[in-house]
Amino acid sequence: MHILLVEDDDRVAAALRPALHRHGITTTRLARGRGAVDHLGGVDVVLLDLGLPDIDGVDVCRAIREVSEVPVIVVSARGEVDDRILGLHSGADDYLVKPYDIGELLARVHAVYRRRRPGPGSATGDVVVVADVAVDLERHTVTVAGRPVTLTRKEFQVLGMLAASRGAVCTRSRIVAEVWGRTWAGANRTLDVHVATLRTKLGRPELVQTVRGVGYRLGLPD
Amino acid sequence: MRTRLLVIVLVLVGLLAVGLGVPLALTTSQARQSQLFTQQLTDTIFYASLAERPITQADTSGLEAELQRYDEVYGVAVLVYDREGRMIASSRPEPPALDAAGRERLALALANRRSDVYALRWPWDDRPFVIAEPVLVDTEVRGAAVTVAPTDDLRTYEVQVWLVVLAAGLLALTLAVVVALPIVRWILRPVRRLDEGTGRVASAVLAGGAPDPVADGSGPPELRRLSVSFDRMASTVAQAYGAQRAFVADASHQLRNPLTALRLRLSNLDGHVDPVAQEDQVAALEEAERLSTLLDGLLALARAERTAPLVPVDVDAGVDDRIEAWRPLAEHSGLRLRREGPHGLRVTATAGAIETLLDAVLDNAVKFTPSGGSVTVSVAVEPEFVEIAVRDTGPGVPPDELDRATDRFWRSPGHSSVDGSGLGLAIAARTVELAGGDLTLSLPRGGGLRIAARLPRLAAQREALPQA
Repeated sequence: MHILLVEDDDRVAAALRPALHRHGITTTRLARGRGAVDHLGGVDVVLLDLGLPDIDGVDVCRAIREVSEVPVIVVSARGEVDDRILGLHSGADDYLVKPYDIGELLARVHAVYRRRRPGPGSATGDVVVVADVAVDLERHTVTVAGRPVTLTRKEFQVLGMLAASRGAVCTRSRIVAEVWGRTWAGANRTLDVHVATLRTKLGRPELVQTVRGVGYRLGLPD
Repeated sequence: MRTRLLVIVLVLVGLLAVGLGVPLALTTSQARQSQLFTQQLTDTIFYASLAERPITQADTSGLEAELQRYDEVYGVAVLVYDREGRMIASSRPEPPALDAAGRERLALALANRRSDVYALRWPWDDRPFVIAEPVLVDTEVRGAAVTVAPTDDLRTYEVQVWLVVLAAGLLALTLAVVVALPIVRWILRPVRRLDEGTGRVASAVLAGGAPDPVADGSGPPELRRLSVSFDRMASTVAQAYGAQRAFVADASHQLRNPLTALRLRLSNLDGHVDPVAQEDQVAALEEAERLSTLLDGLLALARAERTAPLVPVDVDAGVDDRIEAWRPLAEHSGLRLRREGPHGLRVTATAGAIETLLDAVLDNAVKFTPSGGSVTVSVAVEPEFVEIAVRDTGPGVPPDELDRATDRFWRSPGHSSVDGSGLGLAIAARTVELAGGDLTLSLPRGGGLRIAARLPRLAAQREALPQA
């Protein structure tokens, strides 16, 4: 995978590139937003910082969107709701607030990459089956060994998100944002409580796996 | 202020009118009286000389006819007395009786002394003027001629003079008001604008905007300068306040890049760290995470201090939403989370204020209340405020720390190791204060901590809802 990294801060770029390289991702780095559209050839994902010295990152994002369908993840020091909305409206596929965890970044990169290019292995069915657990995303029901399990709406939303990601990591902030619609001081702990309840209710502790410091994913049998 | 200035002007003009008008009236009256007196004295002297012969010849019949004619024309009674003070001729069949002052004047005249000028007669004093003049024959007093003149004309004249003076005084006062009003307004205009301006400056500064200038170039120079200085001060305050907020936000943003690099570098060490040092690497990552939480808190505080417009906010929506959001965590911690109080209330606050407030307060309550306890969110209504209070059964706060608990970065002494930025209550307090309310902490009977936020009730509801 090849990432175009548009980041004006040298030290952030210097720290990020070896981390990406370790995970088998090659990078091209630009310190400015101007000319970013000329470097899109062979790029799988664009990582775009919004706080660029020459032009507004939002404009860069729009310019990229005009010429290419390449996935864009906007990275910004500004995490306010308005900034997120502005970033996503300008055509970005995801929005990440600094300081981010490398695991979270990788999870999002893979997520947007896969969304753009659906691989042959990702089934599009509405029922996700892992061993004897069946999650019906359409009808919002879960069965374990054929017996239905009653979940609250939020509990099912969390499980459904993990199931729909088919084993890819879902970051905490993404789960919180999609299930609760907003983040607050107790959000992460609330998510943990829901996951703990899920594990208890399903009776399959290994089904929902914790990715330390990043989030959760569905534990698929190898 | 305007009334006082007007009163001062009126008092000054009034004093001037009295100071000039009263002497004028007095002098005019005095002059008229002197004129009348002189005239009467001349006539009296004339009759005194006319009476010389009749007195020496003891024949007053001719004299009386003379006196009667004079009396008929002028209305002044003339009496002639002999040396012993007996009346020997009179202009009237029933001569007017002399009063004490008149008899004294007669006695003086018989002693060859002249009558003095009367002191100024007031209009309500109806005693007549009595003038007695000695009748001299070869420098020897042989009798006296006395004239008794009524003072009606003089007194009428005096009343007229006083009325004219009074009218002139009133006219002067009216003119003073007509002239002084615009001047007073002109002087007070900058003062009024300053007065209105101070109120606007406070709200403008809070709203993060530049206050409207007060100076409009009118009014006295001193006040104009004051207005200009005031405007300068107001804009300085607004800039300083804005700069402080901008600094917090900018600093938080600027710290994010180094922090990002730090976290990435620490992560890059994964798998290259000696097992002995692994613990340190994990701890370092946690510290970076903590720093990140602190930055989020600072940004949230900067947001809370940046005013958004106040809008009607539904209390139930915010309270119920946050209670549902915190319920799983509370129940997981073995706490009962309850709601009490009336429904259907609305307040004016920034959008999302109740959520921000409850998140900060419930976070602490859920964190610090031991398992088995309860957290109660109660809504109460006051005439002008709605109180949203959260009461827990936790350890509370040391009494001497209650006032400081809403300061930035305050941590309860016993809980400095618990996760958190120490900004939660500060954010809650600022949010409530910006809406025009207040946040108070108290230690209720029975332990625990009670945090009560009062938010201004929606004006339209103050009348509509009876006291619950």
